[in-house]
Amino acid sequence: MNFRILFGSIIIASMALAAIFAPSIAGQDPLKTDLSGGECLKAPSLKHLMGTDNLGRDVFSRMAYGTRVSLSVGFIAVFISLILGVVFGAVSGYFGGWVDNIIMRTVEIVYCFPTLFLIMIIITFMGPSMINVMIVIGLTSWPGLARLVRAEFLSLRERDFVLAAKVQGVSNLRIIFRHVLPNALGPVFVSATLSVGTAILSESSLSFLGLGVQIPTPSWGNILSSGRNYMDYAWWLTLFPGMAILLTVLSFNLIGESLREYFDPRLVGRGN
Amino acid sequence: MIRGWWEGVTRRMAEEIDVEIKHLTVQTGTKTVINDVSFSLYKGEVLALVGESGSGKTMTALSVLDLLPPELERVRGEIFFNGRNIFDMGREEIRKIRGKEISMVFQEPFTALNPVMNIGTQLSETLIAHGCFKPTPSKVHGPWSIVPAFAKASEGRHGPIMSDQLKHLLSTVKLLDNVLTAYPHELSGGMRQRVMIAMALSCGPSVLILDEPTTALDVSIQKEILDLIKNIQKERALSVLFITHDLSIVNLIADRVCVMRQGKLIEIGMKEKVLNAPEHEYTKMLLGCIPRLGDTRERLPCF
Ligand SMILES: Nc1ncnc2c1ncn2[C@@H]1O[C@H](COP(=O)(O)OP(=O)(O)OP(=O)(O)O)[C@@H](O)[C@H]1O
Ligand SMILES: [Mg+2]
Repeated sequence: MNFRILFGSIIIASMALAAIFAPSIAGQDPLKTDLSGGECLKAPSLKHLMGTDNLGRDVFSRMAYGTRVSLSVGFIAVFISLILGVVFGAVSGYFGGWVDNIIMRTVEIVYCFPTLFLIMIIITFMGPSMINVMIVIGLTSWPGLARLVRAEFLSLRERDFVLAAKVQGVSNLRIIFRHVLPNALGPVFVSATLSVGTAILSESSLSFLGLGVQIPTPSWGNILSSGRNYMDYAWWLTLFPGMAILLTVLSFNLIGESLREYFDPRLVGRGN
Repeated sequence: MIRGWWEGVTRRMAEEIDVEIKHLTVQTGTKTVINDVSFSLYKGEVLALVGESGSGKTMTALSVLDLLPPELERVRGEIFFNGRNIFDMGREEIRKIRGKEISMVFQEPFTALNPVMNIGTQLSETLIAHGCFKPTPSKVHGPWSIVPAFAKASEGRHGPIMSDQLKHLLSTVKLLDNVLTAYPHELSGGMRQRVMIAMALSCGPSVLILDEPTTALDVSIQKEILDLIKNIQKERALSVLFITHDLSIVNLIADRVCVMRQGKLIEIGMKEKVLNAPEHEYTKMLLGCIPRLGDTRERLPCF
């Protein structure tokens, strides 16, 4: 256990707790507007820990509920992209030849489109909802991961221990997922943790454009983007969601780094 | 019979053949790496395959397991194992032979082990691949062992790899149980090579291919490993194809010798004959390369 994994896990764990117990933490209805005199755009106080927004809603309650959206979109989207990226990348890199050709050309086709644009097109057809946002972000973000995994496999498959496993009669599938993949997990995890951040940001952008989580349901993304207009005199509307995203991404990175060391015993004892 | 005239001279025809290579020819795009090589490995013998670097020894060995690198292409030839041509076998069929019937140990024990897998797990892989892994852990001792659930938990994350089967495997190569939970980087070269040998032997193969198994080790460890190999070979009556370019090792371990040069088979015969009365010029030159005590020659004849 080191400082990084401790810090990262504490942040992620408290985010996860906030997501699960949002109703009891929030204290106030995140959807309740209060347009009566002076309740809009109030600075943080004991009554409103993170202030109120332009419609007089309690930002702290909205943030607590928004955690649910952001974390689940982040996790599930990355999970989908991880599975697709690892399977396609591994098969592509290990076997090479025509399999590699087909998969890599597909990856390039997906790459041709700006990701957000592609997501928007698909969401337009599927209809905006949280589930669709997760699936679509997952389905569009695997190519980068697949390329990374493929590159790792291209160099790893030449290593002697792969030939040694083949000589012992270990099957190709087992060599791919049990012998080679653990050697490639370091960069994959680092990349996946970064993707969680990207996925949370993508969700925010979509929510901002009205293609993600539908107003008035709160998500960090739509709190942040609606606060954008009041940045000059209501700093709390952008600071808190911004900090939440920053801390979450940072924590995932710290955990990813520590995991990398766990999977690569040669690194144990170096650093820290 | 097409099978070489030399075999009749040196072996009785009745003796059983384990692996028979017939007219093997392997090429890259431009170069012939193995050129019409034919020889047999008899049951229970140690056949040394010698030759200079790049003469195609490793590629010949890999051909036997149908594991030539993709850049190389077999243009001609057959390899018979148990009377069947391995190049006619299906993918699954040949996989079941690898490691179970024919095993191979490489030159570099430093790279042939997976750096992120502990030794126990790596040993179990071969067994699992051939469906003969018995993951019965040895009995857990200590106060908790009376409660089955606790006993199970105290096996910890090393549970199945502490099995008696794996411990026994390690003992055949004279390694201690604690190696099971070690990672390759924690072991010395000699220990790693022992692990490789244990792995190769785990499913009880009848043929063992050793590709310069001691070249990467220092002299005293070489001796230990060679003795180990020799003992196991005798005990189990293994057929061994021993690749090396060290003629003193050949003298120590081999029954027959096969000399290769630039992909061609130059000479094959009983050890005593090839080492003492070589027929071919190249073999004589190769023998002339061994520096002897009291040798007064200024330059080695082959350079
Ligand atoms: N992947 C490959 N692609 C192209 N040519 C190769 C490849 N591997 C080996 N060769 C060629 O095959 C020839 C024989 O190589 P091989 O490894 O069998 O030699 P060797 O007798 O085992 O040598 P050493 O004693 O150095 O191990 C070499 O000359 C090399 O040029
Ligand atoms: Mg070689």
